[in-house]
Amino acid sequence: MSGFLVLQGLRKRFPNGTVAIDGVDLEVAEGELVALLGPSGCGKTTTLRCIAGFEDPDAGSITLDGRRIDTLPPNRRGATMVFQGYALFPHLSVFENVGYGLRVRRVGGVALRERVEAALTLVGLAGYGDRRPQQLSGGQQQRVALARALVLEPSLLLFDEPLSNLDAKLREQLRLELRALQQRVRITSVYVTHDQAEAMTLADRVAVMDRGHIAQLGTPRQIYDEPVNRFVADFVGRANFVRGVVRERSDDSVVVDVLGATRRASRAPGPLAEGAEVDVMIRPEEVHVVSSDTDGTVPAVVRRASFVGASVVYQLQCAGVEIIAIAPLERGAALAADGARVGLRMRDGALRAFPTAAEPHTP
Amino acid sequence: MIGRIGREPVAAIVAVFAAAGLALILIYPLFSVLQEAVISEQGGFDVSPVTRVLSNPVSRQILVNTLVMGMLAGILSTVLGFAFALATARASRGPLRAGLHFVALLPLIAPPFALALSTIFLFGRNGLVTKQLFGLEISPYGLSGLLFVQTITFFPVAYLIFDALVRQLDPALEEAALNLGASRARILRTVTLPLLRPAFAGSFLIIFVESLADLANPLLIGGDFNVLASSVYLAIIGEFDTRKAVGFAVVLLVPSLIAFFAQRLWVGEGNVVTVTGKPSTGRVGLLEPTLRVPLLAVTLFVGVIVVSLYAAVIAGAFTKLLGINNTVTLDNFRFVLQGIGTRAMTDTTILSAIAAPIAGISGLLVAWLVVRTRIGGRVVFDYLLMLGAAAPGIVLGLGILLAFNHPPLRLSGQTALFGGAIVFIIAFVLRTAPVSLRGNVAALSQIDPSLEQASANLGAGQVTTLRRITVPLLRRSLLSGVIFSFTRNMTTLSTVALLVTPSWRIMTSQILNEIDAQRLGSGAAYSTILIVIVLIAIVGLQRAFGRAAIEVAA
Repeated sequence: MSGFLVLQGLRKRFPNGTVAIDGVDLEVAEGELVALLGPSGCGKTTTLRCIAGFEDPDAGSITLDGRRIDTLPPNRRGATMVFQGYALFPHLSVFENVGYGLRVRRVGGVALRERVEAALTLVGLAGYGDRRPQQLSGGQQQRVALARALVLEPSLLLFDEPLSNLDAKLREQLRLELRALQQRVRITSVYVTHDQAEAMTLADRVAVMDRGHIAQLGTPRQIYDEPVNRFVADFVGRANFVRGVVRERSDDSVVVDVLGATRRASRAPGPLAEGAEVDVMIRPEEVHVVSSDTDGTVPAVVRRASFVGASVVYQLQCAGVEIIAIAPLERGAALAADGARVGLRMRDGALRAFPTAAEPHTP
Repeated sequence: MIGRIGREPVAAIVAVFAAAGLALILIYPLFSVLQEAVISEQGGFDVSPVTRVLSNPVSRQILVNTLVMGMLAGILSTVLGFAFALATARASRGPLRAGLHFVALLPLIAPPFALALSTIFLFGRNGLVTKQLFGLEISPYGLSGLLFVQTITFFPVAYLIFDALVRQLDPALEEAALNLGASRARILRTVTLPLLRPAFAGSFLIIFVESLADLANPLLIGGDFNVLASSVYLAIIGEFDTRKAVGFAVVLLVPSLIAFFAQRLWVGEGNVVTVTGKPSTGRVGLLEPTLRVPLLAVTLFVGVIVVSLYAAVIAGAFTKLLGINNTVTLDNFRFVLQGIGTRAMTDTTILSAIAAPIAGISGLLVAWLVVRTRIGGRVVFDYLLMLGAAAPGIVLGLGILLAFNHPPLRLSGQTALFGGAIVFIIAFVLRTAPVSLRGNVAALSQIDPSLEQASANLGAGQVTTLRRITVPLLRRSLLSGVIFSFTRNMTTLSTVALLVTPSWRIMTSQILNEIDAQRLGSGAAYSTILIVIVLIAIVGLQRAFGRAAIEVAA
């Protein structure tokens, strides 16, 4: 993979002593969209602001298209940003906002008008040029911010949680639009978000960040199906963690005793000795609740079954631990009663084993 | 450091200019005062000008008088300002509220003499109210008259502080207390007042400083009650004794600076109030009648006094001698305009108008430097410039006089460049740029830095961002700063009292002369003209450059 944007050993400590990023390495290919995903304080925004030039990293380098940019001032980096609060200039019209960067580059007259109109059309806001930003809805403001960044045809687009100020429905819609647009213009992008659904919908690859470094970088499928550690497994999607013991092991899988049964599980990197305790993860949608007399199931008791519309969430007690299961409910079918005895079916490939965390905790 | 300057070239240039400017117009004059105070004429170390003030019983009494006046004026004005803020926020609605608000702001545009003058008209030995109406023979001259005038002059400052804070209080807090069963009076005592505690301290300290710096009222109505500011003035004007003046000035400087910077450190901006900072959206209920009625009675009574004082200035200008000979006449105006009044009007207006934009823009640039750049030592600029507001005007005036009346930089006096005009502009800028600084710092803190980052991100350099984004976004606070500066320049006496020469006439100084010569009618006519010029300027500037409320300027 050719690194169009390359971050190497990026470190940043704030004056108050907190270490924001602690050795970030990342390569983004040309035309690729990489999402930086993580909880607040993980360093994703600091990484983005280092690329934009609003923070000076203490160590490391940033290369864009073969050129060192971390020594350049923010206005010479050619990486335009869509800000979290959009940062639209309130004293300028939509047209002037979008044309701002072009004017700075001494583009004027017909060329300016054509390029601004084209950018506004691209984001579906043709004819809105004369309005003030304050007269637009949140979604429209977001599009203006996008047009303002796109119109300069940057070599790199930066997104700082651009959808976080919108309501859930609009966010979902814009997420899809943004993906379609990025696919069309193919501008290399780095997208910061704490919303895993957003990251997975939009990104070619996702970098999950934890306490100042990248815990895992991979396609959405990879980080969901093959998390490298408990943090990633827990942050991306929901997960049950139960204790198990390793019976047999091979290079890519282990056989574990878990919940009173013996199952094959894929294995995360790290030492997993035979006979050792491991944390076994299973996603709630991989736990199938069936009748208790089904062969090959694990017995469990329903603590509570909650109907949440598209699915049913079961809180189950199984071999002394609590398990969450999520399953679709056929229209008209009855919910399992609280206290009912049921069987749990778990596919071999659905389990994943991790080296035991020093401080075990139940999800 | 070099890297930073390379990254922020404009900030570096502004910092260099700010440093040079402050060194020249602030540090050099203040240094001149201190030098005069500690170096004897023979060149030896000698602090006797200061020790003499402290050891001499007469001058020690002057120090005590000053502190007593400052503290009492601070307490009275703060209480009255709070009463007005409470009355407008929690005791009145509609036109009554608007009326109280207007009355509470009215004294802000008065030149320093106007209120003292009309106090003499109304409550003097031959006062319209005291003598004519009630047949009383009381003298307003002394501490009580001085406190009366200062309280009316300064309570609007307290009102503005409380008004801004009361509006910021989250109504949800009061609703929560109400919901838990507390009465309005109890909420006031247990929720509102504790939240406003820093404002009481801040208001008291600010007015203490203002009171100490006040020169006009002590001269006019202080009588035998001498204070430090007037002593500095009289030492120069009456006795030509520079070392005596410097002694008083240094003694005056110390409590002023302590109070001012205590207020900045302790109350500061940002931690003034521990609430959301969002303007309240909910409606807050009125206080119970048991509190509301006395509150309205007091504030309305004060309101009537304020309006009568203004009316008395105007009436005094249009009568022979208000209270003694109430014949309506234009003689006062004729006397003023045919004399040096016309000169004073144009001179003062020209100097004020030149200084106002300089003060406004310097305040804005230093605010930008402090809030938005990472230039090393930027906070020092903030504190240094604030010295211009912290030091009493008469001390600054004395410093400017001592610094610029001799080579290498002879700027004051008739024979200097432009007839000594430059020292007035220095004095005006020094005094009012700090207010522009505070206003722009507050405004800039409200503006999301991501706007300027967005501009940089789109390719704009520091100059373009400053010109196209920052300054347009700050136009309201800039305009407020300019209006304030012009108003203050027109109406100040203390800063320029020592700088006046025959080549440049200052209106406030002329008013002082008229009153000294017992021509109270001419003084009133001058004051009326001054008020009219200030009002025209405020309205005109707002019309020309957009809306910025008078209260913002004030």
